[in-house]
Amino acid sequence: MQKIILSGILLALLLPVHAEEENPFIEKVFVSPDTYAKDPEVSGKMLGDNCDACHGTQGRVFDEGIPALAGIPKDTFIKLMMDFKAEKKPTIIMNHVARAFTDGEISRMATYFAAQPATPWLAKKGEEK
Amino acid sequence: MSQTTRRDMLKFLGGAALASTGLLGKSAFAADKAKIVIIGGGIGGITTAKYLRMINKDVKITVVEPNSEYIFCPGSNEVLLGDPIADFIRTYDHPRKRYNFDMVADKVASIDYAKKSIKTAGGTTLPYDSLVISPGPTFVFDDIEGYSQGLAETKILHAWKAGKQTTMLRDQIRAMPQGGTMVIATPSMPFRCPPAPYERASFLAGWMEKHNPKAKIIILDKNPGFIFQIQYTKYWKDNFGFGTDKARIERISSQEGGAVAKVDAKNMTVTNAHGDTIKADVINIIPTNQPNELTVKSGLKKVDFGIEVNHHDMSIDGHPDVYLIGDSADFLVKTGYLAANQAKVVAQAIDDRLHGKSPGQPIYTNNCVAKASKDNFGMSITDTFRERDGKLLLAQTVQDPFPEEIDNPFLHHIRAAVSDNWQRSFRRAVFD
Repeated sequence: MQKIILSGILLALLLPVHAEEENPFIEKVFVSPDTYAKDPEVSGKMLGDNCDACHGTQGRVFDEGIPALAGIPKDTFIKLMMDFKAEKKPTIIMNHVARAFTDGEISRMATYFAAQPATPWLAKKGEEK
Repeated sequence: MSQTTRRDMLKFLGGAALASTGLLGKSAFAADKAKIVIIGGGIGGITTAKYLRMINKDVKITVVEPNSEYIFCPGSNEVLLGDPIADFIRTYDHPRKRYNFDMVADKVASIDYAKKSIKTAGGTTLPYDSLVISPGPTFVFDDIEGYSQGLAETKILHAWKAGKQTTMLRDQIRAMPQGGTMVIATPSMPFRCPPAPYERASFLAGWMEKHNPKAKIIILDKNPGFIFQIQYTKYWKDNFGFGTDKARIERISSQEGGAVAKVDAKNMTVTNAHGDTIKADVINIIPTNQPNELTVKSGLKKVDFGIEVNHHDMSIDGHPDVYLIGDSADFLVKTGYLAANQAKVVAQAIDDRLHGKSPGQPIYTNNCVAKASKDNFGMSITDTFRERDGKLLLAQTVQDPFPEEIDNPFLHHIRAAVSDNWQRSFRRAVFD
């Protein structure tokens, strides 16, 4: 796995990386999340909010292929994410999503989603509570 | 959000104080509501309003947006293939009611940071306690000879904000003569949605295969390389003879003179940086994207990839309580996905400050999608940005499928379905 220590990485993005490919985009950058383990903690909610774009507000979209996250028991969530992170569970995106987070962050995300109600964010007409 | 535990809070307030002042003095805001003004009713603006309201019932939120509806850009290349544009349209009625915000249907003319107010083109002055600027990019037309905003709205379309131009461009392509030529010209980075010009070319080459098999697309590229280049190149070689005499897609990179210097709308020609002139039936110039003119006009500082922001909370140094998100902010990558996640950081920062806390540690992910073919070939990118001392660090970027996976068609189908799913879920995450 390619590991690059990043300083001024955004500038580096504009420079040719592999001259033969003439591509200003680095195709793979991975800095172990543990590099940031001593930085101030990102809260469970802040981490969870980042998941909403695919998994729905507070992880509460239950009628799509991309699954809901709200209400998943904490241990189940952690097991899933750690398996994705370790490439133990086949997936096409979640392996790369999961490995960007520290174990602590995965645990805080798990706490956050376990606390969200397992009901659709937008109830269908007639099903509102 | 900072990690305030119940114990810290009790320690901070003391048991008796907690009883007498109310939780963090929140009731004080009910009497004198903080005024939050948001410029722009797009992905960034509406996400800010929604996520702020989810954590704060008291603030008064006003969104200033001249249009009566929003048309999502992500996925809108599919309208060129015949998908109804209605799928991409959202009105403001639902979020306005559900998240209790006001809307002012006007353009913003000026910002007075010292007086903490904005003025609209119609003459309304709106004072703010916090201002969120999320107006999208300003397109530049005067860097290409013969090009103008008027042309861009009538004949040499850009279709770079989904809407009327998207369907007009679709109709131009349908009306192309058999064996005709289409030019797609890109601006230099950064611009909104980096893979979209190549996705557009790829979709249309697939469409032409059925409807106009001798037609050709020439990408005049102002950049040396592009995102998902390996994946697109592979797809184009396999399907469109890319790199051969009979290629349905040809790409001229910036080193080969890809930048457009001149357009002649009457004779329908474009002239590139090397002086070569190409005659085309459809010319689609994607204009240079700049930070919104409002930000520049109001004196904010332009740096490499946009207006300088403090990446800790997307605030503007030296301008208390002003935040800037989306296309105009200093991020190399400009996507709706990132704008939404920046908006969530800002919503949290505004609420934290109202409660006397300094905003906590942010994280910005951009786990976005693109396609080479509508149903058969999807791709994804997994970006993670972290922050230290107000500066952005790219912790991860991965473009999938990996080259070693590229001969597995099943993966490409799954990723196309994931991409469709994402488009739907994302629209719901912003507007529902």
